[in-house]
Order: sequence, then structure tokens, then C-alpha cells
Amino acid sequence: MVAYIVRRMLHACVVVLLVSILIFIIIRLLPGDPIIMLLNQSTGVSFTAEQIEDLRHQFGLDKPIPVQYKDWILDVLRGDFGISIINRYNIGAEIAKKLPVTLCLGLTSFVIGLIIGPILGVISAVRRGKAVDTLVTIAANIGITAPQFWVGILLIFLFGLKLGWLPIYGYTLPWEDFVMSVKQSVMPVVVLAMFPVASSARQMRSSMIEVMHEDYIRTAWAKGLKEKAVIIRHAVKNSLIPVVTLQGLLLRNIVGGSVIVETVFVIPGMGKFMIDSMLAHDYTVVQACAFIMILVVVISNLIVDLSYGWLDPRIRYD
Amino acid sequence: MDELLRVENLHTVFRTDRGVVHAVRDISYEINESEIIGLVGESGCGKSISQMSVLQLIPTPPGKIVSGKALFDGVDLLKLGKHSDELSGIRGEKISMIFQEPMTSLNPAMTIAKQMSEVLIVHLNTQKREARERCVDMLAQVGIPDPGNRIDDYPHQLSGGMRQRVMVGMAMLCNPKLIIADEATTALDATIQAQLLELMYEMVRRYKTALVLVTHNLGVVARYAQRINVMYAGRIVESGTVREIWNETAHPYTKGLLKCMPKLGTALTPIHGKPPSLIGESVLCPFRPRCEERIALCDELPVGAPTHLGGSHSTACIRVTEGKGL
Amino acid sequence: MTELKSDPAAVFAVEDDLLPPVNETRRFFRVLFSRKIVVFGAAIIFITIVCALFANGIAPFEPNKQDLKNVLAAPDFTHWLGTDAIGRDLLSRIIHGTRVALLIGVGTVVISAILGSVIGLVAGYASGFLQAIIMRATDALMALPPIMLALLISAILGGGVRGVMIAVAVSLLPGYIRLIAGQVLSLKENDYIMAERSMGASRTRIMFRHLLPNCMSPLIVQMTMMMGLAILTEASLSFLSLGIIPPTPAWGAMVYDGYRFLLRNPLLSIAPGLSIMLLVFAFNMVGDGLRDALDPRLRGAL
Repeated sequence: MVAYIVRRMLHACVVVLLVSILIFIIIRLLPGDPIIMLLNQSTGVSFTAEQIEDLRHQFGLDKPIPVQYKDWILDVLRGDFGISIINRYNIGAEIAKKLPVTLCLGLTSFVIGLIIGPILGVISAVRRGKAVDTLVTIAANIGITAPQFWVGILLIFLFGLKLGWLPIYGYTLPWEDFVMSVKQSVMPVVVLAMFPVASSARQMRSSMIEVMHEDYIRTAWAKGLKEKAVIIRHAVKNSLIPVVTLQGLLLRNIVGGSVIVETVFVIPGMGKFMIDSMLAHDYTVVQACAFIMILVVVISNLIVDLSYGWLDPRIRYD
Repeated sequence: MDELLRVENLHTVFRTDRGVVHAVRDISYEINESEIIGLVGESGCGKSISQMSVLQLIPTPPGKIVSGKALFDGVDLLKLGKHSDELSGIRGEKISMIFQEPMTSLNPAMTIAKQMSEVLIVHLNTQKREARERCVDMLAQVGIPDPGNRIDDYPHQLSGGMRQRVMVGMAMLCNPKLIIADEATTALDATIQAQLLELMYEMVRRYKTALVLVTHNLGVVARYAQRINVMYAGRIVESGTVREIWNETAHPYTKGLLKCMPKLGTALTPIHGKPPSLIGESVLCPFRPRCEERIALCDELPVGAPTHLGGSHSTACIRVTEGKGL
Repeated sequence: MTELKSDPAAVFAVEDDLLPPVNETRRFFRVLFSRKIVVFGAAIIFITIVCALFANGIAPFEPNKQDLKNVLAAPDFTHWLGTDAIGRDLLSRIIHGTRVALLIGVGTVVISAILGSVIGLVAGYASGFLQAIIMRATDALMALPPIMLALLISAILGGGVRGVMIAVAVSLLPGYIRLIAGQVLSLKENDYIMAERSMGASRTRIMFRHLLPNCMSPLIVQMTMMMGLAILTEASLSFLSLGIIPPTPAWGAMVYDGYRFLLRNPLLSIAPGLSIMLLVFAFNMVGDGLRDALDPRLRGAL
């Protein structure tokens, strides 16, 4: 078991390093020099060639790319994300402010998806063909296909503008003002959780239906167990295995969705930070944001992987 | 001997996209207390389905029990709701079933201890600790070495033979009146098969339990069973004591089965042709196309209720009635 | 008959050919369209294709014709869905928006399916170093949310139809590589591939004659599903102003433009968003139907 955990963690580290290299290369090799961008912004001031060289040197952009990457990753490992080329703030400090916001929203959505999705799936599978099943299936299909930004706008229109029940933008951390935080979280969390709830429900429904035809379920019936015991004790745990596998994908989706949700609801989190930096061509910031988000995805995937052993005893020893 | 279970006119169908499969067609039989009977026939002749129908264990849909009765202790099991408390109280406590697939019949995500003790907890309200002790004791009886430790294993840690022993033990836990062993040994190696059959035989003798041995192996039933029902294409074509079936074989299909039992030094004589499709209703004898003793009347007369031949011997072959000049 | 078959069940096992034969093509279409929702999806896709092909004939107005005297008009009989902030007819822009949606949806999926299949085949069939490199890189890319990968690339390429296509195609690539490589890895150990190899068939022959055809069913299903995702990704990029560049009508960008005028005419946001959802829904439903119809495990079943 310990060996397994260690191996998974090493694998996670390799993935993080590889992605960071990929992102670094994508950002450096494609057109769009951040220094030129910076100069384009400062209209009216003329720069001499020496000054440009100076700036390049200041940000280490005159070195070969592998060296640039080495310097960058070593700094990152020390917790230093550098300084924004364009706005000159400390990136690490900015991230420390914005990451908790995204984590709060994302985790809430993830937990909601993990709990409500499978419950809906079980209900749907057990009442297969009944009205509840049709309702859940249609809702799940809408949840999977509706564009997040659009649902966000619909919610804003309905609950924010028309009914005036909920604030339409901003975010407060729960330990600063809990009531406000909950009010501001409702709509973003609904949008972020929509896809995870829907996919988990669908997956749970189909794996429940499959599991209910397994031989060991027939054995459970033959033992004289009541319907509730057959479903809860025997079917649910086995049906959860593919749903747990799916969670890695859903986590990715939540992290990706935070970019959209934070833009729609004007929430000062990592997603909005990244989009704003992209629009400003502030690539050192984009790089740092991407790195942090990958870290979040990889760490949560690791947790999902490890929880697998509890569900499926057959994989514990490999 | 008192009658334990009487099945009357059981008819089970399955709906598929190629048509309605009549898997069990109007069969009737009875089992007496502490009796061992064999149910013999080739794969797909409806013997497993008939047994699962009795406990309403067939998947519905696509399956459906169209008609029939299964009287057990004066109660018609087929009248009870599929998920009713009454039926749950009978399954596993009064009537147990052992299935064919040792690899998949146990829940892969639960330990043997949990899977076995829940039978006692559900039916006899046993305390958890006591249930565990009784399960360990039962595992020892079915010949699992080191039961105190093996009970905490997951099914995948046991061999196929061991798992089937666990199934036998689980079936015996509540000391049921009837055990249905549905091809319980088919998937196992020949030596393990023999051991397991001996074990089941010993167990049902010890606890005076009735046993239905569902198998395609006539040799197995001849050794253990007192009476035999032979099934073909969803019908019971012949039934009687082992002696009657062996010495006064009435149905050509049973003759064919006996001829293709392996004996040392003799060549096997297979029955030619293939079993018919079970799709659609059919009133004529299903064995007709493969029968070597077919007469003209076979293509005209429908097969009705089995003809009694004396003793407990009866057959569905119309040639017998004809021969007796009825 | 051989003496080895002492088991009566084996001697006359029920063969599948006892049952009446089934016409595979007819069965395929019957299963595919057996659910009403799949028919609905196919109809939506058909209508979208017609709109894209004949947009100029169907749309009542020029999609980019401004009418500054008639901005933010409420729906009426001339402008069925009203007009936007610079007086362009919303309905006409939605109809023309089918072109971008389909172009991106179909285009990126085809590009990434071809590239992904080739890389996946190589990764699944090659061994050792090359396989390790491809699979690690794919793993790494899979850790990245597809929308983020697409955003990064689109931001750097500066958007536009070409940029968005490259961005979305790359974001879909890892999924295909993993699908095909996984299929090949499991097929490779199959008896018939082993037999083929032992008879001295060349690698290319095995790859293209045996492995690829066997990957077709899951590939087709994946492609249909990915069309929905591709359209969603494009719409998100356009919504975030990192996708299709105005004034080309793109549904995602239209939702964003309408966002500021929600109280004046909510349809400006709602209608293009609904179009995205319907089309994505349609592709997913047809994908579901295809999976049922192509799944060999379900052959002969209901």
C-alpha cells in the first residue's frame, strides 16, 4: 500500500513537471513577445534598443529556453513565481489571495457533484422507466450540454435582475462574512456543479443498471435480502467504482469551468486572474496560474486514485 | 414422505427482439421432504430458468412468469410480490440456491464474513459476533482450511472450488428445507466437482434437507438422486426414479442422453441435430426433428400432459400412449 | 463426433444460428432510431446543416448589416428575435452562426481524430521508449482542463477561425490518443492478432487491416460526442473574447454581447445560448444512439 502511494505520488510529480514544460514551451515558442507587448502598452514613451535589451535581461528572456525553464521551475519550487512583466506585482502574493476563492467554490461544487450525482443516479436506476427516471435523465442531459456561461447568465437574469434574490457579482470568503459568502456562492456553485452532478448521475444510473444484472446481485436476492439491502449493501458500492474513475475528469472540468464562472460572476479567483492576464498578454502570470491549476488537478486526482482501493479490494495489491 | 414443494403448470417467457422465447413451457413436478431429485437436460433447455422462476429470481423484464403455481408450505410462491417480505423470508431461509458461476456469484467488494453473516442477521436476527462464529463453524464444515482467517478474505482471494464451498455453506446457514443447486459444480475441474458433490450430498443428508440437482450430467444424478426429471426444450419429457429411467427408458430423448454418457471402452453415440429454437408457441413434440423413433402421428398430435406409466414414471412422448392403444 | 466431447452439453450446445438471422444494417438503424430523443437529435443536426448551407437564402437579413436607427429593438414581425446593440438582426446572426459552429465542430473533430488515431496507433503498437514518451505526454495533457489548453493556444494564436480550430483540435487530441492506444493495447493481445503476426504479417498490415477497423466503432462514437464538446469549447472561447473575432457571427460571442443588455432584450443572450445547447445536445444524443447501435455486446438484444 505504501509503495503504491509513493509510486502514485512520483507519477503525479512527473505529470506536473511535464505539463509545466509543455506550457512553458507553448508560451515561449509561439509569437507574442511579452516585452514588445509591454512596450506597445506604454504609448508615448520611446525605448532605446539598450533599454529593451535591459528589460529582456531583467526578466531573463535573453537566456536559452532550457535555462529559462530551469531558472523558473527552481524559483517556483521555492515558492517564488516572479513578478508580472506588465503590472509589476508579485505573482505569488496575488495567487495567495485568489487561490482560496477558487478552491472554496471548486471544492463545494465537487462535493455537491459527488453526493447528489450518485444519489440521483441510484433513484433513476431503481425507478427505471418511471417518471422520476425520465426527469433525471433529461435534466442530466441538459446539465451536460448547457454552456456554463449561458446558464450563469440565465441565473443572473432570473434570480439577480428579475427577482433580486441574489447578488449578481463578487465573492466574499466564508470566514470573512458567512451569510454574504453563501449568497454569492449559490449561483456560481450551481453553474460549476451542474456538469459534475449530471455526469455522475448518468454514470451512476448506467452502472447501477449494469450491476443489478450481475450474478452476485442475484445471489443477494436469493439470500432473502430486502430490496433496500440489495441496493445499498450490494449494488451501490460496486456501481460507484466507475463513478469514482469519472471524478478525475470532473475535477478537470471544474478547474476549467472556474475560468468561465469567475468571468461571468466577476469573482476575483484564479480563473479570472488567468483570463485577465491572457487578455493582457502577461505571460509570466499565465504561466504561474496554469502551473497552480495543474497542481490542483493532479493533487485531487491523486486523492481520487487512492480512494479507489477502498471501493475495489481487487486492486489493493498491484 | 411429505410433499415439500409442488410446481404446477409453470410457464416462463423472455421477450427478445427476435421474438418471445418460451423458456419454460407448462411444467409440473413435486419434491418431497429430504428428497434428492435431479433435473437433467442440455444447456438452454430451461432447467435453470424453471428453478429461478420458483423463487422469482429471473430478471423481469425481459422475463415473465406467465402462469403456474409453486406451492410451498401451502403458500403459492408465485402469488407473492417479487420484493415482498414474505418471499424474502423464504429465500435463503427456507429455500436456498447455489448458482453455477463461482467466479461471479459472490460480491467482489465484500468479505466472505460480511456476505455470509448477513444471511443470519437478516433471517434469524443473530448478533454480529455470534453470526461470525457460526459462519466460521460452517466454513469448517464445508471443508475450508483455516476458516477463522479465510473468512476475512475477499472472494478474489479464493479459488473457484473454495468459493463454491462458501456458497454451499452460505446456503446451509439457516438450515433450509430445500436447496436448489443450479449447475453448482459445472464450471469446476472434474476432481473438485466430485469433492463438492460429495460435500453437498453429505450436508443435505446430515441436515435432512431436500436437494434439487440441476445438471446436464446424467452420471451425477444417477449417483445421488432418487428421482429424475428430464427436460427438453422447456418441457419435462420424462420423469421417474433412477431405476425407472435407466431400465424402462420411455422417451427417445432420454435414450439419446443415456447413449451419449461416456463409458470406458464404448464409443459415444451423439444425438444428431440441434435443439429447436424456443421462440414462439409450439404444441407439437419439440424433439420430433431429431427423433429416430418418430411416427406419422408425431406431426399431428400435440403433446399434452405426461402419461403415467406406473410407479412414479411418466413421459410426454405420445408414442407411448399410442403403443398402449389409447 | 469425437470421444473427447463427453459432455452432453458440449455435444449439442445451443448455437446462435438456431435463432433467425438478423439483418445487421436494418438492426443498426432500428436500434439507432429506437429512441425518440435520438430522432430529435438527428433532426436538429439536419436543420443546422440546412441552415449552414443555405444561410443566405434562409436568413431574412444580412448578418452584419447595421441599422443604427433600430438598435436593441424588441422582437416584432420584421425582426423576429429583435436586434442587437448596433441594429443587426438577431435571427439572421443565429442562422449564420450555424456555419462557425458546424465548421469548428466537424472540422476540429476530423482533424484531431485523424491525428489522434495515427499517434494513438503508433503509441499502442510501438513499444518501449516511443510509447512511453507519447503516453506520458498524453497523460500530462490530460491533466490540463481542455478549455485551458484551448484558451492558451487561442490566446497566443490571436483567435479567429483558424486559431480556434487549431486550439480546439489540440485540446481534443489527448482523448483520441488515449482511446485508440487503449484499444490497440487490448486488441494486440487478442488471439487473432497473435495468429496474424505468427504468420509473418507486416506491422503496417496489422495496424491498418486489423487494428484500425476494430477501433472504428468507439472512434465514431467518440467523434460524435466530441463534436458537442468542440462546439462548447469554441463557444466558451468566443464568450471569453479569445475565440472567433467579430463581426463573424459566433454564438458564444453573441451571448457575451447580449449579456450587457439583459434587461433590454434578454433574447440577445438567451437565444444564441439555447442554439448552442440544442446543437450540443443533438450531437450527444446521436452519439448515445450510435454507441447503442454499434455496441457488439448489445447485438441481438433489445
